[in-house]
Amino acid sequence: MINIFMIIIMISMIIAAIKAITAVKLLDSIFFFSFIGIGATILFAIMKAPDVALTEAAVGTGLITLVFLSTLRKTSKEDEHES
Amino acid sequence: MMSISSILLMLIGLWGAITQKNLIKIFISLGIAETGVNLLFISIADYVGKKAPIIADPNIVTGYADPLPHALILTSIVIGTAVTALGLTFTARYYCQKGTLDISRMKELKN
Amino acid sequence: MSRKFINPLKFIWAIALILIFVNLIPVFLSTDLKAEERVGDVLLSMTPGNDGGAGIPNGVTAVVVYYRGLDTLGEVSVLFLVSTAVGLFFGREKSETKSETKPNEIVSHSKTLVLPHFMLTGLYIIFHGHLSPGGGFQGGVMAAGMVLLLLLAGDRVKQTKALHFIEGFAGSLYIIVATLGLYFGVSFLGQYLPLGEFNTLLSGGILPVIYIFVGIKVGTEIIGLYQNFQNKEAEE
Repeated sequence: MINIFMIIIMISMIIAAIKAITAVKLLDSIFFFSFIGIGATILFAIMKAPDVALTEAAVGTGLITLVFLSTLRKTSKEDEHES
Repeated sequence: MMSISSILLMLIGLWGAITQKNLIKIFISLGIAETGVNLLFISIADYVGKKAPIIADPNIVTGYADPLPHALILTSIVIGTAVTALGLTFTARYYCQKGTLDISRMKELKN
Repeated sequence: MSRKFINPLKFIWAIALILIFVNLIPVFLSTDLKAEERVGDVLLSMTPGNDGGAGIPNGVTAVVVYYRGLDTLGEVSVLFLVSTAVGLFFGREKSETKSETKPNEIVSHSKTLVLPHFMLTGLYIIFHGHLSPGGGFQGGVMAAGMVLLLLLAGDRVKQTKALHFIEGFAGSLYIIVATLGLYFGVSFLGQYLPLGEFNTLLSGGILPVIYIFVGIKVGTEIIGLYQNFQNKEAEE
């Protein structure tokens, strides 16, 4: 049961990775990357690593998304059409 | 199963880092590859049927997962975040100077 | 910018990566790796503090702070370096004329409701880092989320000198506490405080003290890093 759950999360993470790389808009790319962090958090918690899951949830999902969004806000002044 | 999927995730990140042209997307690809490596290390730490490495009884010290990869990955996540933040800082400064993020238009070092 | 030809280096990369992937599969599927004795088993047997161990329940904290304490010192140094570099690159940037977007109504109204919970959760995770999952890095980032929420809600949090002073002071106390081990006759980062009773809050000797300092330092560094990323016209 738990194996099927892990496989579903892993497959959705791989699909999200491909979508994050091939997405046209950078905002979609950043949110797919955030989804990969959430999936990795769940997998770490299942694989008996609660410390790593807490770190990934706080740092890898929360902080890095904020940093990416701030950079996107800094670097998109007039040419939003650039992919 | 988990380890093969983690290697696949890492390879997808490497493919993105090689083929993409936008700087922010390159850093996203590097982050995906780093997540794959972290999942690989945790998945080979022998978690099946074990408990999380928090010892309840000081006389029984077996039956827990290996804490060494956990500590390594704890360091790796924080360092990866710091490296990504530094790279995005350089990206934003480059955009302030040149006004582009496309790496095929970076011709400053090409004589 | 249309390409004239397809780069052959791309195919070489792809073939090499696929070959590496195929070669690596049997290594991770084999069961020989599980039969060998691991370093982690020895570390776990020393963790409860029977013979010169750490004396705390959490095995990961024991490895991070006690057995591999120098690595944590280097990690904190790397974080300090990155925070300084980001401040160096963004600090002298003048205000770009950009239309100030108003913060969301929900964020600006519910921030006073959410703030104490952020702070309490972060401090709980820092102070119970040796008993339960968590520790300095996680709790520091969570407590720094409080100030990040204030920044998102549009408040101008002044980049005061006190923030830098707290950051440097916590880092210095980390090294001072570690160096006092040489004075008391054990090694650098050695255990010289009494261990106390197992699985209580006041136990573990110097490990909770060091993790509290790491938490303070990481939290202030995260606040400074994100503040440098966001400031537009916040010159003092």
